[in-house]
Amino acid sequence: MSTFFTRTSRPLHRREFLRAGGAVLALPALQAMSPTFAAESKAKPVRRFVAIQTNMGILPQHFFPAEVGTAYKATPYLDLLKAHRDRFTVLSGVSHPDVDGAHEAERSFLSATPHPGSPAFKSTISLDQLAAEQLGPITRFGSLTLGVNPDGPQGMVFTRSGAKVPAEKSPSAVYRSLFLQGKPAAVEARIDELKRGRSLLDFVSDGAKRLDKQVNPADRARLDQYYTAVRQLEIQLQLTQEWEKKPKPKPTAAEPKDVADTRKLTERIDLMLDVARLAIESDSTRIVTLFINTFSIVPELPGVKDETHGLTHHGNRPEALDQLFKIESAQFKSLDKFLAKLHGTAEGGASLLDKTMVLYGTPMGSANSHANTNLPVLLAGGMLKHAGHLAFDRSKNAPLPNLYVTILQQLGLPLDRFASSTGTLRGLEPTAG
Amino acid sequence: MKRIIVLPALLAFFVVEAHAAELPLAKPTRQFLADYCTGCHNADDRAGRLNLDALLAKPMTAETEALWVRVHDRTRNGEMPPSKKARPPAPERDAALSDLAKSLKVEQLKVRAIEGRTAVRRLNRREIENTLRDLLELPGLNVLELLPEDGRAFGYDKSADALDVSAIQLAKYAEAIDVALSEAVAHWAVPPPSVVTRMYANEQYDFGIVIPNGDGVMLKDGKYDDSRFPLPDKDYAGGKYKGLHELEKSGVWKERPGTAGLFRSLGEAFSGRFNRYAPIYSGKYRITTSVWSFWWDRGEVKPAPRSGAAGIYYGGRVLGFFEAPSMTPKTHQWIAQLEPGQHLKFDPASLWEVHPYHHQGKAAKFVGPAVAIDFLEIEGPLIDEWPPASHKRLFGDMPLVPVAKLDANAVRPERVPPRQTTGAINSPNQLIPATVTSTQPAADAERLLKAFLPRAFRRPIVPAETARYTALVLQRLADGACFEDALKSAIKAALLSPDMLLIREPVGVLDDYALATRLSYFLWNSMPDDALTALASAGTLKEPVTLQAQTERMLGDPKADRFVQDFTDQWLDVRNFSKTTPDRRLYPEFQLYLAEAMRREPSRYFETILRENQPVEKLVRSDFTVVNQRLAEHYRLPGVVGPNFRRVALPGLSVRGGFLTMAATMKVTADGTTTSPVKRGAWVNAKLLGLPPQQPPPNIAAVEPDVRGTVTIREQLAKHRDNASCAGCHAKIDPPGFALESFDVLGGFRERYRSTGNQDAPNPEALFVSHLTPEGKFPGMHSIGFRNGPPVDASGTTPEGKAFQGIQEYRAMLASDSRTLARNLAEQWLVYATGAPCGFADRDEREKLLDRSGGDYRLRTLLLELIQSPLFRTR
Repeated sequence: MSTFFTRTSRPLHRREFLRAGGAVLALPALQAMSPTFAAESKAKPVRRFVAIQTNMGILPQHFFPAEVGTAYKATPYLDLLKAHRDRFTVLSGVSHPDVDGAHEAERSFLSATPHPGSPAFKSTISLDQLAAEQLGPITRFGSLTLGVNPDGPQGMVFTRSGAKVPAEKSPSAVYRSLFLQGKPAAVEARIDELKRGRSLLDFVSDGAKRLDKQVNPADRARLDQYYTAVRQLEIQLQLTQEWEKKPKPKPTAAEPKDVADTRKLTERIDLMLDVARLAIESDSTRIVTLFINTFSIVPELPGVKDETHGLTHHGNRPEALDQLFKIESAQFKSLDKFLAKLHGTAEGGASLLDKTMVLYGTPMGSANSHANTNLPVLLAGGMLKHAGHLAFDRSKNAPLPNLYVTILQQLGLPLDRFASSTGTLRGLEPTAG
Repeated sequence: MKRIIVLPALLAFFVVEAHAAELPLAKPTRQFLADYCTGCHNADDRAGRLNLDALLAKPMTAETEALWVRVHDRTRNGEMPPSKKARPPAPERDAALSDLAKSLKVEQLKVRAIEGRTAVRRLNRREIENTLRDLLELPGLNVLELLPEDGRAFGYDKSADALDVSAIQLAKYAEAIDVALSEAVAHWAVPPPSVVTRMYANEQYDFGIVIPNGDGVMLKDGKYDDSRFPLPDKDYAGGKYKGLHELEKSGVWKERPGTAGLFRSLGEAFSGRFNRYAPIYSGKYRITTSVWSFWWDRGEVKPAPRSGAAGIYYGGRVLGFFEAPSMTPKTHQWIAQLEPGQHLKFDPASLWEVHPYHHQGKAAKFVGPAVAIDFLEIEGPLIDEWPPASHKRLFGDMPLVPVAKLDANAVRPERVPPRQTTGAINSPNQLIPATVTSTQPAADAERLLKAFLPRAFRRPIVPAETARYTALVLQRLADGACFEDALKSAIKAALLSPDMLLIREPVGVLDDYALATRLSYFLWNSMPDDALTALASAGTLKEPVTLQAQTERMLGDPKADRFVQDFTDQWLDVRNFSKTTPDRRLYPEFQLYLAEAMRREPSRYFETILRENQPVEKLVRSDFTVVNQRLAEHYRLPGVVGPNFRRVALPGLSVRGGFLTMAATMKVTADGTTTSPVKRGAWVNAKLLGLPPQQPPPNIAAVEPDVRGTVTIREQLAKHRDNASCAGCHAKIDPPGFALESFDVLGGFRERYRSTGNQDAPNPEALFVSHLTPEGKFPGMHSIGFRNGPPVDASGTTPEGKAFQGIQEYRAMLASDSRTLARNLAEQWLVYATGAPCGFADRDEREKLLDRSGGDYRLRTLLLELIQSPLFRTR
C-alpha cells in the first residue's frame, strides 16, 4: 500500500483502504505526536472514548425517568445499571438537527450529517474519526471500528471524504491485530513503504529548495509554508515507522473464540465489548466504536421468538412490547458488565471507567413511529460531573452534537464545534483535576 | 473544519520593505483634512471607528492603504463630510482628492514593481482534480472529496490568501495522487470484457419492500398486472394480516421480470437501489432505461395530467433526470463515468413523498400520479483502446508484458484481483496481470520523463531536471522496485513538487507560458492543453489576435463548462445551496427534483448569455431564462415539458429573468424558514453592484423572525429607518431586500407570507401546479401545514431617493445602471482569474477596459477585452 499512513486493524484490499482512509493524521503540536508523549502526565491525563449504537431503538417508556436531576426514580433499564448510577448521565430532549429518515439516521449517529435518507447523501466525518485524526499517532491504532451484525450498507463510521469505514466483525481477529506480532515480512514491507515515502518527500523538498534561489520576496512566505508542510509530513512518517518497529503489548486475557450463531446476540456483544476493553487497557487505541445491528435478528433469550425489527413496530401490542423489553434489557446488562469491568480496572490512581467516556444510544426516539427526535442516550465515565437525568426540551430538542463537542474537549482536543453544534452541552461539566 | 487562512497581514509583512513610511501628502491636502475631517475622526471621537490623525502617521500597509482608499472614495462620493457638517468648496476638495489619489497610486505602484498585484498560490482542490484528470487523461477520476475544503478570499477560492499549504493538505493530496496513478496504469494484459446487464425493479431488494406494502404496483400492458395477485384491499392494522401480508409473503410480485409503477419518490425507508449489479471496474458505462408515467385511480391506470420525471442516481450523486411521458414509455440512453462499488438507483422524482402504505386501503384506494420503470440496463466497462490513453501518458508505447512471462527473478508489481465489494451478483473476471518492462531503464525513464514533466510543470524543463527525476527512477530500481513502480515514484514526486502544485508567475508582463496557465485555469479550471502550449512555445500566444482566437476556442470547448459552473457557484453563492433545509411544514414542495432544477438554472443561464454575447443588463432583467419542466412549474410558466434545460421566452410582465429573481439565488439568501431583506440586500450590493456593505457594529442583537405571522420581518427592521446611525448603511442595504420580499425561501413568488399561525388557508391549486389531479385539484392525500400570513410589502426607496412599488420598478432601475453592473462583473472575473481584485492604481485601466467594451457592455465582448487588458496580462 502506498499511502503514507497505514494504520488499520486488519489488512485491507488496497482500493478499499484508499477509500476508507484508515486513520488519517492531522497535525497538532509536533512534540505532542511522539509516542513518548503519549505517556500519562499530571498535566495531560489519558482519556478514551467508546461509542456504542444499538440501532433498533430503545423503548422510551422503560428508559427515560420521570424526574430530573440526580434524585430520579430508576426506570427498568436504568435500574440494570444501578451499580454505576453516579457515573453516568441520562439525556432526554436531544437529537441531531435535520437528521431524519427513520432507520437511515443510524448512519448519522456519530456524524450528525443531515438528511441521511436523501438519495444524494454524502456523509461528513464521524466523531470518532475526527478525534482519532486530531489525537495523532499517540497509539498504535488511531481508532477501532467494531460491529455486531454490521451488514451491507449499514454503519456509522465515516472518514473525512465520506467513505464508510467497515466494522470489524470478528473479536478474535481484533485480538490478533492487537497482540500478535505481525509477520516479520509484513512488518518489513510496511517499514520499507514508509521509508520510501520519506525519501520521496526528501527528494521533493530538495527540489523545492533549488527553486528557492530565484524566489521573489513576496513569494517567500508561501514557499516557506510549503517546506514546513513537507517537513511535518516527514516527521509523521517517521513516527509511524517507529510504531511498526515497536513490539505489541502483552495481552491480559486469552484469545476469544468467535460465536457464529447470530441468535446468540448477548454472547456476541459481550465478546466484542471485552476485546474493546483489552484494546483500551493496553493503550492500543483510545477511540472505539461499536455498532450493534439487530435488524432481522431473533435473539436467543427466554420468551423471545420473533425478529427484532418486526417487534419494534409493536403498535403497542403487549406481546411485542414484552419481547422487546427482554431484548433491550439483555443489551443493558451487557453494558452494565462492560462498565463494571472498566470500573474494576485501576490505572494510575483512577479506574479505567474514570478515564473513558462511554456513549450508549440509538438513532430513533421511537422505533415504532420511526421518529428521530428525543433520542435515548446516556454518557458514562470520563471524569465528568454526572447529572443523573439531564433533561432538555422535548418539543424543541437540544442538539446532540453539543454533547460531542463536550466529548472532544474532554479528550483534550482544542475544538469548539462539531457538525451542527451550537456549543458544549449545558449541564455536563468536567470534574476538577 | 475551517482551514487556516494566511492573513493578508503575513504578506503585508513583506510589503513593509517596499514602503518606508506614512502616505506622503501635500500641505494643502493635510490642511483640507484638518479643516473638514479630523474634527470628528480623531483619537477622542473616533467617528465611524476612524482615527484620521493616527492614520496620517501610520506606515503604509495593506490595511492602512485600504483605509485611505475608503477616505478617498467616501469623500469623492460626497458621503463625507456628512450633510450636516460644513461642506468644502469644490475646488479645494478636488485638489485634495487629486493629491490623495496621486499619492496612493504612486505608493501602490512602488509595491507592484516588486511584488505584482497577485501572489503565488497553490492549486485549489477543484483545480487539482481537473489537472490530474487532464494530465493523465482520466475524465472519470474522482478525488475531490479526498482533498480538504479550501478557504475563501475576496469571495473565491482562487487567491493565495485562501489557499494554505499544510501537512494535511499534502498528505491528502498524496493520497489523491496514489488513486490517480493506480487508475492510470494498466494492470492487465487485456481489458475486462464489456458486459450488458438488464435489470427489473421487482427483482431488487428495496422495491421488494415498497411494492408489497402498497407504495407501488406491478403492471402489464399498461394495466395492473392481476395475473400475479388480486389488488390488495384489506387494512393493515395490528393482527389482521390478510390481503397485503399474503401478497408480501407470497412473493409473487417478484417472480418474472416486469414493469413496476411507483406512487412515491425516494426518501424514508426507500432507496430505490438496483442492488443486483455494481460496477467492478472504473470506467465508462452505457446506461439505458425505459420509463413512463400514469395516473392511478384505485386500480385503474389512466393518462397522467403531466409528464413525470425519473431520476437515475449512482451512489450519492444524480446521473440525470429523464422524461417519463404519460402512458408511452420513453427510452433514454447515455454514457456515464462510474467508479466501482455503488448501485444505480431509480427515483420517481417528480412525485410527492407520499406513503400509501400508511393509509387505509393502500394501493387499492390510492388516487394519484405514478412513475413506471420497465427496465434499467447497464453496459460496460466501455474501453476505447488498450492500454488506455492514461497509461500511454506515463509509459508511452512501451509494451505490456504478462507478469507470468517475466524472468523468474524479475520484481513483480503488486496486482490485486478485482473484487465485488457489494452484495451484487455480478462477479469479476479473471484478468491476466501485466506490466511494463524495460531493458534500458535509464534511457526509457529519461524519454518518458522528458515527455511528462513539461506538461506537469506547465513550462519547458532543463536537462538537469530530467536527470534528477531519472536518477530517482534508477535509485528505486536499485532498491528493488520494478520499472512500473520506479517510474510511478518519480511521477508522484513530480506531482507533489511545487512546480506542479503552485502557480508561479514572474513580476511584470507574463511570459507566454504563464499567460497560457492563467488563461486555462480561468476558462477551464485546469492545465493548458497541447495546442495552447504549442503557441506558448512558439512565442505567439501574447499576440492579440492569437490570444483572442484561443479564448474563443477555449470558450467553445466542453471544458469551459467548468468555468461556467464554478464561477456562478462562487460569485452568486450558489455553492451554499444545500446549507439550509426549507422547513417541511412551510415548504412541502421542496424535494430533490425541484432542488436540482433550481440549482442548475444559474449556470445554464450564464452559459447562454455569455455564448449569445448578451448585454450586461441581462444579469438582472431578461426576456428569457433557461429552465426545465419542474422549474417552469415552480415559476408558473406554462408549456415546458421534460427535465432538460432549454431557453424559454418570458411573457412581458414576468418577474423572472436574470439572477436577481432566480430561485437558486433567492434560496441562498434565505434560511429554511424566513427571508431576510438585510441578507438579500447585502447580496445584491456585494454581488451585483460591487459594493459590499460594511460589517455591522458589534453588540447588535439578531432579529428573531416571527413564523406565526403576527409581525413581518420588514416591521421588525423598523430601527433601520428610525435610527440615524443604522440608516447610514441600511439605507443602501435594505431597499433591494424589500423589493425581493416578494420571493420566498425557494424563490417562489408570493403575495402573502406562509405562516404557521391561524390565518386563512392558502390555495394549493395555485401554488402546487406540479402535483394537481387531472381535474386540476390538489390531491387529498397530500397535506398542507401552513396558512396565509400577512401580505407582502415590497416597496422601498433607493439611497438616491427614488421610490419603487415592487420588484418590477426596482429591477428596471438596477438594469439601467449598466456601467456599474459591467464594472462589477469585470472585477469578479478579475479576482476569479488572477486571485486579486483591482487596486487603487488599477482603476484607470479598469475604466479603459469598460470604455472599450461598448455602450451596452456585452458579456463576451467584456470578457475578451478583459483578457487583452494589462490587468490580465501582468502579474
